[in-house]
Amino acid sequence: MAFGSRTGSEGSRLRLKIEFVMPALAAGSHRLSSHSHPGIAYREYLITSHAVVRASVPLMEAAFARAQCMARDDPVSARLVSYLPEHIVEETDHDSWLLEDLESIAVDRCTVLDRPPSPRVAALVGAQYYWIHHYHPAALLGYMAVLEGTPPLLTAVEQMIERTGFDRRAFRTLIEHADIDKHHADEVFGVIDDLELTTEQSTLLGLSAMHTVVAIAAVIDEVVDRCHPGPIGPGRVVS
Amino acid sequence: MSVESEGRGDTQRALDRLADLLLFPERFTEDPRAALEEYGLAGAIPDEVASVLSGMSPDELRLIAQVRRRQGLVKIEPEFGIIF
Repeated sequence: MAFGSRTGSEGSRLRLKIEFVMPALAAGSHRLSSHSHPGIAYREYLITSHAVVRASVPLMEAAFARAQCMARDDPVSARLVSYLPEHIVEETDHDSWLLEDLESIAVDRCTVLDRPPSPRVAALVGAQYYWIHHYHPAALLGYMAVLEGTPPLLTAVEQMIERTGFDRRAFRTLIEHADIDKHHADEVFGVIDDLELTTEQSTLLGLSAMHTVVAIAAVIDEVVDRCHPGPIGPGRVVS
Repeated sequence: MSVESEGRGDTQRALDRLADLLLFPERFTEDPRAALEEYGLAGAIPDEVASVLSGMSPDELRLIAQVRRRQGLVKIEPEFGIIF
Protein backbone atom coordinates (compact mmCIF):
# COMPACT_ATOMS: atom_id res chain seq x y z
CA MET A 1 0.00 0.00 0.00
CA ALA A 2 1.37 3.40 -0.97
CA PHE A 3 0.60 5.37 2.17
CA GLY A 4 0.76 9.09 1.81
CA SER A 5 1.44 9.08 -1.92
CA ARG A 6 -0.91 10.11 -4.73
CA THR A 7 -1.51 6.86 -6.56
CA GLY A 8 -4.01 6.30 -9.39
CA SER A 9 -5.43 9.00 -11.60
CA GLU A 10 -6.61 12.32 -10.22
CA GLY A 11 -10.14 11.52 -11.41
CA SER A 12 -10.26 8.13 -9.73
CA ARG A 13 -9.05 9.64 -6.45
CA LEU A 14 -11.72 12.32 -6.70
CA ARG A 15 -14.42 9.71 -7.40
CA LEU A 16 -13.44 7.90 -4.18
CA LYS A 17 -13.47 11.10 -2.16
CA ILE A 18 -16.99 11.82 -3.42
CA GLU A 19 -18.06 8.28 -2.57
CA PHE A 20 -16.75 8.67 0.99
CA VAL A 21 -19.30 11.41 1.73
CA MET A 22 -22.15 10.25 -0.51
CA PRO A 23 -24.17 8.81 2.42
CA ALA A 24 -24.91 12.43 3.36
CA LEU A 25 -26.85 12.86 0.13
CA ALA A 26 -28.51 9.47 0.05
CA ALA A 27 -30.59 10.01 3.19
CA GLY A 28 -32.18 13.27 1.99
CA SER A 29 -32.70 11.87 -1.47
CA HIS A 30 -34.69 8.99 0.01
CA ARG A 31 -36.82 11.38 2.05
CA LEU A 32 -37.52 13.38 -1.09
CA SER A 33 -38.41 10.46 -3.35
CA SER A 34 -40.67 8.86 -0.74
CA HIS A 35 -42.35 12.05 0.50
CA SER A 36 -46.00 11.67 1.51
CA HIS A 37 -46.94 14.67 -0.65
CA PRO A 38 -44.98 13.88 -3.82
CA GLY A 39 -46.48 16.67 -5.93
CA ILE A 40 -45.60 19.32 -3.38
CA ALA A 41 -42.14 17.87 -2.85
CA TYR A 42 -41.39 17.71 -6.56
CA ARG A 43 -42.57 21.27 -7.15
CA GLU A 44 -40.37 22.54 -4.33
CA TYR A 45 -37.45 20.49 -5.61
CA LEU A 46 -37.77 22.10 -9.05
CA ILE A 47 -37.99 25.62 -7.63
CA THR A 48 -34.88 25.03 -5.52
CA SER A 49 -33.10 23.35 -8.43
CA HIS A 50 -33.73 26.47 -10.48
CA ALA A 51 -32.07 28.59 -7.80
CA VAL A 52 -28.95 26.46 -8.12
CA VAL A 53 -28.97 25.87 -11.87
CA ARG A 54 -29.30 29.55 -12.76
CA ALA A 55 -25.85 29.98 -11.20
CA SER A 56 -24.17 27.27 -13.32
CA VAL A 57 -23.23 29.37 -16.33
CA PRO A 58 -22.29 32.48 -14.29
CA LEU A 59 -20.06 30.29 -12.08
CA MET A 60 -18.30 28.87 -15.13
CA GLU A 61 -17.94 32.35 -16.59
CA ALA A 62 -16.37 33.53 -13.34
CA ALA A 63 -13.95 30.59 -13.35
CA PHE A 64 -13.15 31.21 -17.01
CA ALA A 65 -12.40 34.90 -16.43
CA ARG A 66 -10.14 34.13 -13.46
CA ALA A 67 -8.41 31.31 -15.34
CA GLN A 68 -7.74 33.65 -18.26
CA CYS A 69 -5.94 36.02 -15.90
CA MET A 70 -3.76 33.18 -14.56
CA ALA A 71 -3.26 31.09 -17.70
CA ARG A 72 0.05 32.53 -18.84
CA ASP A 73 1.96 31.14 -15.87
CA ASP A 74 -0.35 28.32 -14.86
CA PRO A 75 -1.04 25.23 -17.04
CA VAL A 76 -4.05 24.19 -14.96
CA SER A 77 -5.71 27.53 -15.64
CA ALA A 78 -4.77 27.25 -19.30
CA ARG A 79 -6.61 23.91 -19.52
CA LEU A 80 -9.68 25.49 -17.88
CA VAL A 81 -9.62 28.26 -20.48
CA SER A 82 -9.81 25.68 -23.25
CA TYR A 83 -12.45 23.50 -21.55
CA LEU A 84 -14.98 25.86 -19.98
CA PRO A 85 -16.33 27.70 -23.06
CA GLU A 86 -17.62 24.46 -24.57
CA HIS A 87 -19.28 23.42 -21.34
CA ILE A 88 -20.80 26.88 -20.88
CA VAL A 89 -22.57 26.41 -24.21
CA GLU A 90 -23.77 22.94 -23.15
CA GLU A 91 -25.27 24.24 -19.90
CA THR A 92 -26.83 27.41 -21.32
CA ASP A 93 -30.63 27.73 -20.87
CA HIS A 94 -31.00 24.75 -18.54
CA ASP A 95 -32.47 27.16 -15.98
CA SER A 96 -35.11 28.07 -18.56
CA TRP A 97 -35.95 24.37 -18.96
CA LEU A 98 -36.74 24.27 -15.25
CA LEU A 99 -39.00 27.32 -15.52
CA GLU A 100 -40.85 25.61 -18.37
CA ASP A 101 -41.18 22.39 -16.35
CA LEU A 102 -42.65 24.44 -13.51
CA GLU A 103 -45.03 26.30 -15.80
CA SER A 104 -46.39 22.94 -16.97
CA ILE A 105 -47.57 22.34 -13.38
CA ALA A 106 -48.97 25.85 -13.04
CA VAL A 107 -46.09 27.48 -11.20
CA ASP A 108 -45.61 30.93 -12.64
CA ARG A 109 -42.01 31.91 -13.44
CA CYS A 110 -42.37 35.18 -11.51
CA THR A 111 -43.15 33.18 -8.38
CA VAL A 112 -39.92 31.27 -8.87
CA LEU A 113 -37.75 34.25 -9.72
CA ASP A 114 -39.14 36.43 -6.91
CA ARG A 115 -38.38 33.99 -4.10
CA PRO A 116 -35.11 34.84 -2.30
CA PRO A 117 -32.75 31.86 -2.56
CA SER A 118 -32.11 30.26 0.81
CA PRO A 119 -28.84 30.54 2.75
CA ARG A 120 -28.21 26.86 2.02
CA VAL A 121 -28.38 27.47 -1.73
CA ALA A 122 -26.08 30.47 -1.26
CA ALA A 123 -23.66 28.29 0.74
CA LEU A 124 -23.62 25.66 -1.99
CA VAL A 125 -22.98 28.08 -4.85
CA GLY A 126 -21.24 30.85 -2.92
CA ALA A 127 -18.39 28.61 -1.77
CA GLN A 128 -17.39 28.20 -5.39
CA TYR A 129 -17.24 31.95 -5.98
CA TYR A 130 -14.97 32.23 -2.93
CA TRP A 131 -12.56 29.53 -4.10
CA ILE A 132 -12.58 30.85 -7.68
CA HIS A 133 -11.82 34.45 -6.73
CA HIS A 134 -9.63 33.93 -3.70
CA TYR A 135 -7.70 30.72 -4.41
CA HIS A 136 -7.91 28.91 -7.75
CA PRO A 137 -10.65 28.48 -10.40
CA ALA A 138 -9.91 24.74 -10.62
CA ALA A 139 -12.09 24.42 -7.50
CA LEU A 140 -15.12 24.50 -9.78
CA LEU A 141 -14.12 21.13 -11.26
CA GLY A 142 -14.89 19.54 -7.88
CA TYR A 143 -18.38 21.06 -7.93
CA MET A 144 -18.93 20.00 -11.53
CA ALA A 145 -17.68 16.46 -10.86
CA VAL A 146 -20.39 16.00 -8.23
CA LEU A 147 -23.19 17.60 -10.20
CA GLU A 148 -22.42 15.88 -13.47
CA GLY A 149 -21.35 12.64 -11.83
CA THR A 150 -24.60 12.03 -9.98
CA PRO A 151 -27.24 12.11 -12.73
CA PRO A 152 -30.93 11.51 -12.09
CA LEU A 153 -31.85 7.85 -12.31
CA LEU A 154 -34.50 7.24 -14.96
CA THR A 155 -36.18 4.58 -12.85
CA ALA A 156 -36.53 7.08 -9.99
CA VAL A 157 -37.88 9.70 -12.41
CA GLU A 158 -40.48 7.26 -13.74
CA GLN A 159 -41.55 6.46 -10.18
CA MET A 160 -41.87 10.17 -9.43
CA ILE A 161 -43.98 10.70 -12.57
CA GLU A 162 -46.30 7.96 -11.38
CA ARG A 163 -46.43 9.18 -7.79
CA THR A 164 -47.09 12.83 -8.62
CA GLY A 165 -49.48 12.22 -11.49
CA PHE A 166 -47.86 15.18 -13.28
CA ASP A 167 -47.51 15.29 -17.05
CA ARG A 168 -44.12 14.14 -18.36
CA ARG A 169 -43.49 17.73 -19.54
CA ALA A 170 -42.82 18.59 -15.88
CA PHE A 171 -39.90 16.16 -15.92
CA ARG A 172 -38.12 17.30 -19.05
CA THR A 173 -35.04 18.62 -17.22
CA LEU A 174 -34.66 15.48 -15.11
CA ILE A 175 -35.09 13.16 -18.08
CA GLU A 176 -32.68 15.13 -20.28
CA HIS A 177 -30.04 15.22 -17.55
CA ALA A 178 -30.29 11.48 -16.93
CA ASP A 179 -28.90 11.14 -20.41
CA ILE A 180 -26.57 14.07 -20.97
CA ASP A 181 -24.95 14.12 -17.53
CA LYS A 182 -23.33 10.74 -18.17
CA HIS A 183 -21.55 12.27 -21.14
CA HIS A 184 -20.71 15.46 -19.24
CA ALA A 185 -19.32 13.48 -16.28
CA ASP A 186 -16.93 11.65 -18.61
CA GLU A 187 -15.81 15.03 -19.98
CA VAL A 188 -15.22 16.57 -16.55
CA PHE A 189 -13.29 13.58 -15.20
CA GLY A 190 -11.33 13.44 -18.46
CA VAL A 191 -10.24 17.04 -17.96
CA ILE A 192 -9.35 16.33 -14.32
CA ASP A 193 -7.23 13.37 -15.39
CA ASP A 194 -5.40 15.61 -17.88
CA LEU A 195 -4.36 18.13 -15.24
CA GLU A 196 -1.05 18.06 -13.47
CA LEU A 197 -2.31 19.35 -10.16
CA THR A 198 -0.13 20.35 -7.27
CA THR A 199 -0.84 18.65 -3.94
CA GLU A 200 -2.66 21.79 -2.83
CA GLN A 201 -4.80 21.92 -5.98
CA SER A 202 -5.67 18.24 -5.59
CA THR A 203 -6.78 18.96 -2.04
CA LEU A 204 -8.81 21.92 -3.30
CA LEU A 205 -10.73 19.70 -5.75
CA GLY A 206 -11.40 17.19 -2.97
CA LEU A 207 -12.62 19.86 -0.56
CA SER A 208 -14.77 21.48 -3.23
CA ALA A 209 -16.36 18.17 -4.28
CA MET A 210 -16.99 16.90 -0.76
CA HIS A 211 -18.29 20.28 0.41
CA THR A 212 -20.64 20.23 -2.60
CA VAL A 213 -22.08 16.86 -1.58
CA VAL A 214 -22.61 18.02 2.01
CA ALA A 215 -24.11 21.35 0.88
CA ILE A 216 -26.48 19.65 -1.59
CA ALA A 217 -27.59 17.30 1.18
CA ALA A 218 -28.42 20.35 3.31
CA VAL A 219 -30.38 21.89 0.40
CA ILE A 220 -32.34 18.66 -0.17
CA ASP A 221 -33.13 18.42 3.56
CA GLU A 222 -34.44 21.95 3.40
CA VAL A 223 -36.61 21.12 0.38
CA VAL A 224 -38.17 18.19 2.24
CA ASP A 225 -38.63 20.16 5.46
CA ARG A 226 -40.51 22.87 3.58
CA CYS A 227 -43.03 20.48 2.12
CA HIS A 228 -45.72 20.35 4.74
CA PRO A 229 -49.15 21.16 3.32
CA GLY A 230 -50.46 24.27 5.00
CA PRO A 231 -50.89 28.01 4.75
CA ILE A 232 -48.67 29.73 2.24
CA GLY A 233 -45.84 31.85 3.60
CA PRO A 234 -42.32 32.92 2.72
CA GLY A 235 -40.42 29.95 1.40
CA ARG A 236 -43.33 27.64 2.24
CA VAL A 237 -45.33 25.64 -0.28
CA VAL A 238 -48.95 24.59 -0.29
CA SER A 239 -50.81 21.82 -2.04
CA MET B 1 -28.87 0.77 -4.70
CA SER B 2 -27.74 -0.48 -1.33
CA VAL B 3 -24.17 -0.86 -0.25
CA GLU B 4 -24.74 -4.54 0.33
CA SER B 5 -25.99 -5.10 -3.21
CA GLU B 6 -22.80 -3.57 -4.51
CA GLY B 7 -20.73 -5.95 -2.43
CA ARG B 8 -18.90 -3.07 -0.83
CA GLY B 9 -20.46 -3.41 2.60
CA ASP B 10 -17.28 -4.35 4.36
CA THR B 11 -15.43 -1.32 3.03
CA GLN B 12 -18.28 0.99 3.93
CA ARG B 13 -18.51 -0.45 7.44
CA ALA B 14 -14.76 -0.03 7.86
CA LEU B 15 -15.06 3.59 6.77
CA ASP B 16 -17.74 4.16 9.38
CA ARG B 17 -15.43 2.72 12.04
CA LEU B 18 -12.66 4.87 10.66
CA ALA B 19 -14.75 8.01 11.21
CA ASP B 20 -13.85 8.16 14.88
CA LEU B 21 -10.20 8.16 13.93
CA LEU B 22 -10.57 10.70 11.12
CA LEU B 23 -12.21 13.18 13.45
CA PHE B 24 -8.68 13.76 14.73
CA PRO B 25 -6.98 13.55 11.33
CA GLU B 26 -3.53 14.64 12.42
CA ARG B 27 -3.05 11.22 14.05
CA PHE B 28 -3.91 9.57 10.77
CA THR B 29 -1.86 11.83 8.50
CA GLU B 30 1.13 11.54 10.81
CA ASP B 31 1.31 7.74 10.50
CA PRO B 32 -1.63 6.16 8.64
CA ARG B 33 -0.38 2.60 9.00
CA ALA B 34 0.08 2.84 12.77
CA ALA B 35 -3.27 4.63 13.18
CA LEU B 36 -5.14 1.90 11.29
CA GLU B 37 -3.49 -0.78 13.39
CA GLU B 38 -4.31 1.11 16.55
CA TYR B 39 -8.01 1.14 15.62
CA GLY B 40 -7.99 -2.50 14.57
CA LEU B 41 -8.53 -1.58 10.92
CA ALA B 42 -5.30 -2.83 9.38
CA GLY B 43 -6.34 -4.92 6.40
CA ALA B 44 -10.02 -3.98 6.75
CA ILE B 45 -9.84 -1.26 4.14
CA PRO B 46 -8.83 -1.96 0.54
CA ASP B 47 -5.40 -0.68 -0.44
CA GLU B 48 -6.88 1.71 -3.01
CA VAL B 49 -9.12 3.34 -0.40
CA ALA B 50 -6.43 3.48 2.30
CA SER B 51 -4.00 4.97 -0.19
CA VAL B 52 -6.39 7.77 -1.15
CA LEU B 53 -7.28 8.45 2.48
CA SER B 54 -3.63 8.64 3.51
CA GLY B 55 -2.95 11.20 0.78
CA MET B 56 -5.72 13.52 1.92
CA SER B 57 -5.42 16.72 3.92
CA PRO B 58 -6.70 17.01 7.51
CA ASP B 59 -9.58 19.22 6.32
CA GLU B 60 -10.68 16.63 3.77
CA LEU B 61 -10.52 13.85 6.37
CA ARG B 62 -12.47 15.94 8.86
CA LEU B 63 -15.27 16.41 6.30
CA ILE B 64 -15.50 12.66 5.78
CA ALA B 65 -15.53 12.03 9.53
CA GLN B 66 -18.32 14.54 10.08
CA VAL B 67 -20.51 12.93 7.41
CA ARG B 68 -19.80 9.38 8.50
CA ARG B 69 -20.47 10.09 12.16
CA ARG B 70 -23.74 11.85 11.36
CA GLN B 71 -25.10 9.50 8.72
CA GLY B 72 -23.55 6.15 9.48
CA LEU B 73 -23.97 3.43 6.94
CA VAL B 74 -27.06 4.15 4.89
CA LYS B 75 -26.68 3.90 1.17
CA ILE B 76 -23.86 5.09 -0.94
CA GLU B 77 -25.82 6.55 -3.83
CA PRO B 78 -28.80 8.89 -3.84
CA GLU B 79 -31.97 7.43 -5.28
CA PHE B 80 -32.98 10.56 -7.11
CA GLY B 81 -29.76 11.92 -8.55
CA ILE B 82 -29.00 15.59 -9.01
CA ILE B 83 -30.17 17.91 -11.75
CA PHE B 84 -28.25 20.94 -10.50
